[in-house]
Amino acid sequence: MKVTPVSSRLASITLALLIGSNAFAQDDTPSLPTRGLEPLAATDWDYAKARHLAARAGFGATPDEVAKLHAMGLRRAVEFLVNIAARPQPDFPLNVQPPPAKSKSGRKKKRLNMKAIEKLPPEERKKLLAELKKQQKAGRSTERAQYGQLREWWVRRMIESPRPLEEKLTLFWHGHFATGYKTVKNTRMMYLQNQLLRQHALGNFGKLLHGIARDAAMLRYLDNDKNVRKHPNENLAREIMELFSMGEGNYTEQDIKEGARALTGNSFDRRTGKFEFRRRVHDDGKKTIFGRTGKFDGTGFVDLILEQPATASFIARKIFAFFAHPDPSEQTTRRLSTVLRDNGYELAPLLRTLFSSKEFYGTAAMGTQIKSPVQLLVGTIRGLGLPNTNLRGVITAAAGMDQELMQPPNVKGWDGGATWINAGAMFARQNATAALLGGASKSRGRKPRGNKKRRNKKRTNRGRNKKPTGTDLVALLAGQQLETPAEVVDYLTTVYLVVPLSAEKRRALINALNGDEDPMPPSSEWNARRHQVNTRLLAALILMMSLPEYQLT
Amino acid sequence: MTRFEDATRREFLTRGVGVLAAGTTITNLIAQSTLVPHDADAPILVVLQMSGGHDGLSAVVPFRNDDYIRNRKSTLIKPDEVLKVNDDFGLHPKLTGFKNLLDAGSLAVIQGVGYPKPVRSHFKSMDVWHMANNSPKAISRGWIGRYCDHAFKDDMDPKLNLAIGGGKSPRAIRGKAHPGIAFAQPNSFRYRAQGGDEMLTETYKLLNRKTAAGKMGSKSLQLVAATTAAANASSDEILRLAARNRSGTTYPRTKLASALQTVAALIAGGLSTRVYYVTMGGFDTHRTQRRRHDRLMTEFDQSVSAFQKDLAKQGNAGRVVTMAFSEFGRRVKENASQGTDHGKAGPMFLVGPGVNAGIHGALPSLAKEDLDKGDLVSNTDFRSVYATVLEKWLRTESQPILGARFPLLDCLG
Repeated sequence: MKVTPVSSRLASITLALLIGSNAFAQDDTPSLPTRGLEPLAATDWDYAKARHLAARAGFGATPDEVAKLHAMGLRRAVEFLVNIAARPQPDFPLNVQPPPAKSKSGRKKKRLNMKAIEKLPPEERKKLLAELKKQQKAGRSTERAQYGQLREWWVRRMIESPRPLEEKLTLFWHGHFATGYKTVKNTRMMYLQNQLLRQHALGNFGKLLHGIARDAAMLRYLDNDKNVRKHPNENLAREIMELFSMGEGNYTEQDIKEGARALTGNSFDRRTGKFEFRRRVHDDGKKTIFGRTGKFDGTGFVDLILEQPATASFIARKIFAFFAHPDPSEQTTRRLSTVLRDNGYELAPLLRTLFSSKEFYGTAAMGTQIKSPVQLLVGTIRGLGLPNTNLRGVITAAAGMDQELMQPPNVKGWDGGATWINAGAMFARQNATAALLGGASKSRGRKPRGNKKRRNKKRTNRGRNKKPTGTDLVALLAGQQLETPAEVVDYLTTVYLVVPLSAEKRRALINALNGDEDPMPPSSEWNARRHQVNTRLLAALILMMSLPEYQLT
Repeated sequence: MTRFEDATRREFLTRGVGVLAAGTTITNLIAQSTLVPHDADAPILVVLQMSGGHDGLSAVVPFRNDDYIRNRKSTLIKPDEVLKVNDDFGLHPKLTGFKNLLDAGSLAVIQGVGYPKPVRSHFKSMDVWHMANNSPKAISRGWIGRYCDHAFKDDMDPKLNLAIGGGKSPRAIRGKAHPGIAFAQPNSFRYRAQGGDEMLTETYKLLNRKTAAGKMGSKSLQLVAATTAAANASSDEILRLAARNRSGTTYPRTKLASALQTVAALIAGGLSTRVYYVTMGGFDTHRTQRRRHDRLMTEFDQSVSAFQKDLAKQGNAGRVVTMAFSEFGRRVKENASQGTDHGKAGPMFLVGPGVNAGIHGALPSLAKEDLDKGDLVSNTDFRSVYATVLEKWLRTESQPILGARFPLLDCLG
């Protein structure tokens, strides 16, 4: 196979950037990374593909934003999403502090509590216990509040970040390096891990893997704080190879044993979540891993993993499966892993060739992915440009569809695909989508406001001609000059559904929009009857988003 | 009229002729299963999860055991309080209904149940019970889900495994082909967005009905469409049955009772469900246990008793066994807050005329030197109980489900 030097490839990319999308068509020739995937012809770029890119390399976009991506041309659209350095960082405040240090007296009291508390006079004992309880309670409620804030902060980033791919990849890595809060029980550590995933989201996989081997949340989740010379614990050593880098079958049980020895001493400060290397419990003897012998520590072990060809291949395949479709050909995996290795595990080149490839826009990929709950919810919000989302509601709703952020089911993360779909999840999906648009009667996580009497009144008032409470669709569709209900349905279908609608369903939606009484007015008259029109549009869109077709992207 | 004819007629009337035009798509396969005449005598299992770690010593009280008396103070249940079963054990004073069930031959207690290398984390321990996993591999399917996958390979009925009461579906019920249905109450298992508007409801049904799915589209679309259609069919059926079959039995006003009442109604209506899953919380009694635990026992006793009465009235009691478990027992020695901390082994309960009544197995020794860091050491693996229920009650081979062979117990016939 011919090797293109990195520098010349970089040069060609820079050139393409400078000249714009036209240059890309010519790049189809040997000067483009020939070892990457076959690129899509620039002439094949269309609106549907732009929408596909926005949905997969992010969480979807409003019709206007998709139109802009489309107008950029393939090369520049990909660059717009991948080159995150050119986009500003979202700047949302988040305050996640380590829990306050226990005062010396507090610690003393605790020890007292364990040993001698029963010997105290009852009065004193009662007082002491009450105080301890109060302290514990305060600590717990701070922790709970911070955990809530952290997850809301993350969801807000997904919804609002000008760097959607960064957040999409942070979510991908969270599923890959799955870590559960219920085991870690420390928001600060979860935050540090979330930031680590984001920092390297489109950066370097090698650095990310090194970071994970030193990440407090992961070390705690996989018990590496209990991995000490005298009693090695193999949990992290096993998963770091099986799930995080190489995949099963590419290492031996002996490699796990020796890897665990190398990882001994990788620990953390329980309060701050800072990495700590505990020399005293580290096994500094010789280890033989993948046939190589040396006094490896955690870093040495990870370096060895990164040298294994299986690693690039496993990661490339998983990235392809997440973004494109779950069954890449062997050739595709090989090409992508070559790009990953040639670039020293830099992820951006891999993502560029992936998002520019013919395969990414092929029939096996487009419109075939079952939306993850987060994709469904955040995608609906981004797609409609919904303001003021109830962030906690999104988190609760996603959990109700089996994607609890920061609490994946196990260290394997979410299986995704067909496993998202079951009877209960379908209703959860349909109801939550409707709730986002403001149409559902009730949604968990959204507490009804006002007293009961008023709520009941509101409920009975939910007629079709009353003041709309949900999304302003009249504004969203303004300027589209939609004359007939059929045009409205066709437009909404084009922008929000990735698979064509059957004639029967199309007709049903048109009928729903038309209503029983008077027909839907043309868009020029919408402003005059804004509330009524919006209510109708909303009802039709909610119906459209209840379709099985809307579950796909 | 037989059940099958009844179901067919109902389907025919409510859904029209289309239902009978069988095809070979996934859609039809799933929809058809509502027509499959489920054996009216098929055994049903109700799993009752007691969340928080139940203090078994306070439920099946070794009232004469010196170590028990020595280690318990405020949580001690005295010999004159217990409902004596034999010279050594008595039930908690509030378990009067259970005592009646025992006397009537419908209650089996299995002592000292646990698992090797026990952990004291609620979350991790609960996971062990849900997964019943014999390999160190992380798997995401629970033991009930695996039972459905194994025993109902060709039956895609989504209602085989049903959890009622919780918010999230318990991991135990999740299978691959049988992910199970979970809802807080029947009313939450439905599409709710139309707020009673008839025209919109009709359109929703049209958009989501199974024929609308057609044969078009990718495998993913087929799956989603088929699942949605099946969900709506199940939802209609469950709502109808839950509303129709409320018997005259009085249930206490508790969450557990309400869930069990729904289960009873669905059983009465002949729903195809084979395993129901209900949950009762609050067993994490770290402090002032006696008062709390008394209340828990009252709820537990009254709810299960009412459920059994209801089933008996229906004539379905013989079809149903209820199995209650908790993720772990509690520390033998009472703590300084008049409570108990997380422990290890504990008892399980099997309820129903189908059980071999009595106390099975031996209580692990409470002597200090026999404890594991202050906890009871289990002498029966919980998977032995699962295996027994699978083989002797659900009549399915247990090894493919549990991944290994576990000794069967004599708590079931």
